[in-house]
Amino acid sequence: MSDAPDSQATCWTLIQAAAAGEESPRSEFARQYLPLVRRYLAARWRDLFSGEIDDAVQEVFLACLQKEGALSRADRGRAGGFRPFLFGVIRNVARRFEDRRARRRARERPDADLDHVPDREDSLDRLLDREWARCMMAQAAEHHQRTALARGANARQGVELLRMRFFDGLPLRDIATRWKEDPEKVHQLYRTAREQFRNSLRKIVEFHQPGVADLDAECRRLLSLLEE
Amino acid sequence: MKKRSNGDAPSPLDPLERGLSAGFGGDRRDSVLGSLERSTGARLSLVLPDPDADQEPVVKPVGSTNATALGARYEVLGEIARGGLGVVFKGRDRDLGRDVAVKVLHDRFKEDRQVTERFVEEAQIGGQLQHPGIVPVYELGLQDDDRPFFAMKLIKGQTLAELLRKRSAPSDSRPRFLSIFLQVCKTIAYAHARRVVHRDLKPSNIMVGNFGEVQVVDWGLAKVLRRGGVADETAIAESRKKESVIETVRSQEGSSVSIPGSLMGTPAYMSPEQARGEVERLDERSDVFSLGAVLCEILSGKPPFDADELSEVVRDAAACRHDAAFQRLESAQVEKELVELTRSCLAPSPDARPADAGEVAGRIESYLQTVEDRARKAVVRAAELRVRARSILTVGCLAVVGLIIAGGTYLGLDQKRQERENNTRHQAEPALAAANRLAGQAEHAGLLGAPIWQEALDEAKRAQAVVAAGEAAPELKSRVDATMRNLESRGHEVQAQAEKEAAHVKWLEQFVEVRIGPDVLHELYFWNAPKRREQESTRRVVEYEHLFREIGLNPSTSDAPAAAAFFDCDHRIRASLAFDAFAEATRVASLRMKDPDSERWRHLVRIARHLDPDDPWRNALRDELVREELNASSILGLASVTAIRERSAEEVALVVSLIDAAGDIGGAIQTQIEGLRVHPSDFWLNQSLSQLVASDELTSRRFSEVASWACSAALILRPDRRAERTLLALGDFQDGNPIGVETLRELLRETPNEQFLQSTNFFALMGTGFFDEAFALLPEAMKAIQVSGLDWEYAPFFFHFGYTEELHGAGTLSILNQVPYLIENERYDEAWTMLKRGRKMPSARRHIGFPNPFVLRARSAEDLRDLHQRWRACRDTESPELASMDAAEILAIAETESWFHLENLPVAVRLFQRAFDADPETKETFHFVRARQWAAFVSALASADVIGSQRITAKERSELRHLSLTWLHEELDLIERDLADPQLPKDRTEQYSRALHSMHGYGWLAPIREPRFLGAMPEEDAHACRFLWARIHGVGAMMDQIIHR
Repeated sequence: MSDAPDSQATCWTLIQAAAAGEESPRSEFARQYLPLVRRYLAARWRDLFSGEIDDAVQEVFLACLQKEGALSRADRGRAGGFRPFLFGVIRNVARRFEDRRARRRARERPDADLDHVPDREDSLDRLLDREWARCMMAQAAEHHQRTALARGANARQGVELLRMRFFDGLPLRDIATRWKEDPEKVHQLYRTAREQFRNSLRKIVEFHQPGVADLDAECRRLLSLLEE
Repeated sequence: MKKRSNGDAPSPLDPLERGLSAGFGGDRRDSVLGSLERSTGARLSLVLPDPDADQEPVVKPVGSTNATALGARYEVLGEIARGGLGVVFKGRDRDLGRDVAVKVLHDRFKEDRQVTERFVEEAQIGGQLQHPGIVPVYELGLQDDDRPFFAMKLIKGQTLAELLRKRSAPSDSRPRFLSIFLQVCKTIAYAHARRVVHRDLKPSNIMVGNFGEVQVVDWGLAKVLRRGGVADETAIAESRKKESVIETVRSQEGSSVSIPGSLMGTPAYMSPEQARGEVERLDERSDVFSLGAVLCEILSGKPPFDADELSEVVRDAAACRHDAAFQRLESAQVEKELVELTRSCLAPSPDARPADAGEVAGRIESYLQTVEDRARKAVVRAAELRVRARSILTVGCLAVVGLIIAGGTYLGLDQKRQERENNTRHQAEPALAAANRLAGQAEHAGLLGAPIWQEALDEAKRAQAVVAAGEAAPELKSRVDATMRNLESRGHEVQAQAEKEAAHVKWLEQFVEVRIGPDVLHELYFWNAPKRREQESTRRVVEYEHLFREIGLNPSTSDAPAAAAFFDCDHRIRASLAFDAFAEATRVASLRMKDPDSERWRHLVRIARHLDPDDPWRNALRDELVREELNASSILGLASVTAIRERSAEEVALVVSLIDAAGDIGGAIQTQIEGLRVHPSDFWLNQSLSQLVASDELTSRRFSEVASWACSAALILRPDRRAERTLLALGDFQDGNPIGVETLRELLRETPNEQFLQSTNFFALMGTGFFDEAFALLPEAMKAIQVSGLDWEYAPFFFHFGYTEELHGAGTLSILNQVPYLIENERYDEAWTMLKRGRKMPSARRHIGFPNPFVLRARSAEDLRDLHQRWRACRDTESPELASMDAAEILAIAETESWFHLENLPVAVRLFQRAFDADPETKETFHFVRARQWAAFVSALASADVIGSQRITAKERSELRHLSLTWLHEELDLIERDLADPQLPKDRTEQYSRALHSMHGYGWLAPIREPRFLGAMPEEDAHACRFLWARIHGVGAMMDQIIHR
């Protein structure tokens, strides 16, 4: 996705290229969505299937990327863009693993309880939504950093400011002290960087949901998914 | 003023800020692996199989304690226990993939400053008391809701309380429990020596691991005594009445209920001053009281205060009413020394108790020593008994004859004399009868009756004394005399036999000591396995031969029946195993010979079979021992878990040695671990396991938990062993634990002339960046370094401090870099001669001209002189000379400069930069390491100005650090790229793994790694350094995963 949001590309461009078997888009596709898939499966299964997460992740990507696999059949006109499609694949793979596991357990111990198989798909959907939102934010941050490189020193400093604020957890006044800068100036830089990040987020949403009617509303919806 | 966004406040976040937090990874920032996973996309987790999984503490599912997220690092797996201050969870450290115990402060105390302080103090005490008997605390952290928690080692095993409950009678396994108690005393003695009192000692706070390791847990009530002890405590209490020591609810368990309110501790084991709530009076002697209470329970089955009602227990404790406990002790047939020790520990007045746990430990140790001495004497007496048994019948017959004679003469005596004689008889007969009765009992009791036999002899002597002192009937006198004469006449024979038996016992003990080896750790353990085996076996053969010579036996020439007859005693099985061990050592030691004398070790096995013909397992093992080729799987077939459980420590040692000799180190380690389950207190099994594991791991600069606990256990058994202390310290050093370097320093202070320690200290101090201290040690360390061979890592330091000539003279330098050294010293003719010689030695070609390939192109001494002139000019990086050179030559000069001129490192860095800029390909040039890696090392060291001659500015330092980090990140990129290749050979991965692990203890990088350097640099630089090490750690873990896969 290195420059996709800046051009006219959409997620479907990437998906189409990945489904056609091109190496670079495939890697890019896997890089973008692997953390999401893994985190969702890890959260869904906690420790119960932890040994099988790697296999399941592989299976998700196999389902997506194999020749004439799920990706090649993806419906671009579907509402919500690529997200519901990917969720469907992950859920199907997860259920397949759970069924397999349940059958195996039942064979080994006929009276084994099947409590470990998740039954509340709605809460898991929320989880998936949150992971999707986190994935979008990570991509937005990445996009923001990349565009800042082209924008110049001020923008790069803005990225560093956001990193120190949100990765290192430092309050702005501490950052101002470290930088020996006027706090007001740091706040100004912070406001600008926030806006730039918001723009990056818009680009990412547009990339994943081309033609969405209200971009800002979709951004707000994504952000609300991050609430606990 | 316009209202600002809430960027200053850590929370709450507005929606966009939540997005920013998620985008910039703030929601997972505490986890190193989380960060690495984001940056690399890799899943960094390695989980080793756990052989003790079945011994893990039982956990309950986590309820609504909302302690499910302990930062990003720990995952909560379940609840282990619930105490007064907090809840202990079983957790998983996501970064390191290990299970831990995590204690979290109760939610209700979150706002309570005093309780929080106490909680943190518990963690700090655990973190600072470094002792094998105290559970190590790994980390103190904060939950998202600001509640503190600390992570510590997860203990697997049982509490002493559980073990005591499982006894059918208090006398069961008493020696084992006393040995556990001794370890507890030593642990508490260590704490007392550091002015820490535990204040809640009881059996349920003592954990006994599967391998016999004993640990004192729950330091939640522990307190650090202020300087001056009790008096100062009182003063503090007076001044802080409102802030008296934490009053809390303590854990509840069985009858040892703790009570809320003013009491701290557990009443059943509590000193009277503690029960009365006189907190300010508590000191080491309160712990001594509790130790006495634990000892009381071990000996009599119950603690000193054992009423049904808790209130009554508290009242008894406060008044120190423990008469019932003392009665139980008296009736429990406990040795006097132990009863006296228990009584003195439980004295109501602290002044009447031993001063601290060290004194209790000393008394228990001395008691156990006495018991051991008694056991040894018993063996000797048993031998006497066997010889004398033959004479007892004779003595009995004499007694009967004596009685008949007595009957005939008795009537002729007058009344008064009769009365006197009766009086004597009245005193002597019971003694004589007792002697006969005891002798009979002793005879039937065999070896166990040895002490009874001694009592029988004492009784007989008493009878003789009575007869001698009073007027005795002649028949009584002659009967007593005849008995004693008979015994005396057998004395010499008995003595000889007894001495022979004692000599056998002593000899066999010496044999074990040879197996253990001298208390010296040397480089032997860090060589490759075949070399280690060979060296170790040669040492054993020499010492075994010496032992046999001492008893006048030459096992190589004596025929088997004769040699076996020599050991015709109760210890013939142990003796047979000694021959087996000798055979095994001889076999391994002789393998290096071209024509090994296999007949020699086969003969030793024949002697062993003569001594021990019947046991099928041992003889099957001997069949393996005499095979042409040792077969590991076949030997392992004899070392099944079931088989090992039935074998003695000596047998386990033999089978382990054989598996190791067959080349299966993994199998040897596994068998040793099984053996330790049965013989946790066997020193050799612990010692050799730690060495075996460490020999493999220290070379790759890692130290596993197995090596650590085995070494700790060995140290508990023999605390004075310096070899194991050194090994443990080395392990700690490799793990990055500062206690390692501390201990190495301490060991060197104790024996400043020990060469291995001198060189080890030098390398450890260099590795941790204590450069000045290391340099001061260099003159001594050099002697050992010359012996051990020059380590290229620090060669530039040796050059800098002028040891080059010594190394040159000693020949140590000859394979490394004599030529550049000679050139640098303007000895061009010698350099040219050396170069010519080197060219004829293809294997030395890579080293002979190091580091400058241009040296190899020279055709005369004159060429070398010219070359040297050019290099010198380039020290001025603005020199026009540089413009005429290509990248390879500039790189060569940079390397030479870094190698021979530590005072000029910044210049070397600039030259590296210039070479890399001119041609990036030069970064990949490989000499000892890749040029880019070496440049990174040089740059890191240059940033710290350790030689003190560079006078660089803070800005320059920062630039040098930045360069070093950039180059190292490039190296990591390269490694990651290689690792992504599924075809990458495994040895390459292992090579990378070693290289990465080595960076953790590598002195050149200390200025960008060690916390005290990081603390002195700007925060941004420090952050960048930390990120690098997190990445190195992550890539290392990924490689381990690949290797173990």
